[in-house]
Amino acid sequence: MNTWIVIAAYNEEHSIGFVVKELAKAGYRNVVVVDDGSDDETSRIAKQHTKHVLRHVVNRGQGAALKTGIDYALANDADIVVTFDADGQHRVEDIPALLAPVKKDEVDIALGSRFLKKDSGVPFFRKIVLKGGVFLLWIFYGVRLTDAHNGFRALSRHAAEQIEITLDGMEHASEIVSEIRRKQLRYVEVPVVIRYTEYSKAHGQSSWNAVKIFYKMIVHRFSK
Amino acid sequence: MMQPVQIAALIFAAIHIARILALYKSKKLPLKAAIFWFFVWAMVLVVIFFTPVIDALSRPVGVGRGIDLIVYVSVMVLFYLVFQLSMKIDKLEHEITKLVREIALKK
Repeated sequence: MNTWIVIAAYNEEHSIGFVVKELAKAGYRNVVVVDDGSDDETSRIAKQHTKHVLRHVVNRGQGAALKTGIDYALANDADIVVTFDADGQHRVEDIPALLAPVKKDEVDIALGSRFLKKDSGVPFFRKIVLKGGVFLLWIFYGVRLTDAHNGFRALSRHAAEQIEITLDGMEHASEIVSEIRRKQLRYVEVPVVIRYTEYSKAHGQSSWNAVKIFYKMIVHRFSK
Repeated sequence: MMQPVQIAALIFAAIHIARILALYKSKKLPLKAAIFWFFVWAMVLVVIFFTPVIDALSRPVGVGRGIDLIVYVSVMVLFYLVFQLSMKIDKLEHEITKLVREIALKK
């Protein structure tokens, strides 16, 4: 099976090299990095570790970058597409668990969840925000999950082709959930561990962003 | 006798009309837009200098003072324009994303 790892990176020069190197070490050869208009050395460093580096001339947001990467993977005959974070908070060793149900054709999409393991190590305040997001996804889209906005997923080719990402920013994660519902995709949540390092915390989403994402979700919900 | 507010409005309108003319002459403003903005400022002058005219217009529609009618209508027009603009910006954003993605995939 042709597995592609898609990484959207915006100003991740400090982590992108390490992330792609780890993936290569684990045997993942098809890694595409989409540099989303970074001002730093992200592209140059990524190119040292993979030949598949695409660059957005201007920053368009993670949703747009992932879509570019997914399109590239599909054009290169990907059977499975894995979306992976550039800041090193996802663990390479969690990938096989995500791939398994998709490979067996049990589901179309496997979503990483940091709450399926007992001790998730998620900071308390972050947990409240995320659980609020989970509740909203349920209310809005009728999809019951244990984790929200976890960028770690494995999509079958079918799912990757079906899911339309139209929102450029972080809201794409909610959009994917809404697409699961709309396109009647089979899904499962798989336990993963999110590494909350000082670096990933500084580079990740602030909890305040959750409010903005919520607002865009509402607008999006009623414009469809 | 002109009121201070009338003098201020006159100066303000005159400056803007002069700017519109200059922009139109240097072809930075299309004729349609030039006419529209000229009309807007001309209306401002009418409102400021011929208050009784506006009052006469506003009474039949159930608004006591002419100036109130102007404020109501202006707010509505502004809301409409802001809506139009935000739609347009949204569309532009999508087009930019499309372009950026195409360029990234072409290379």
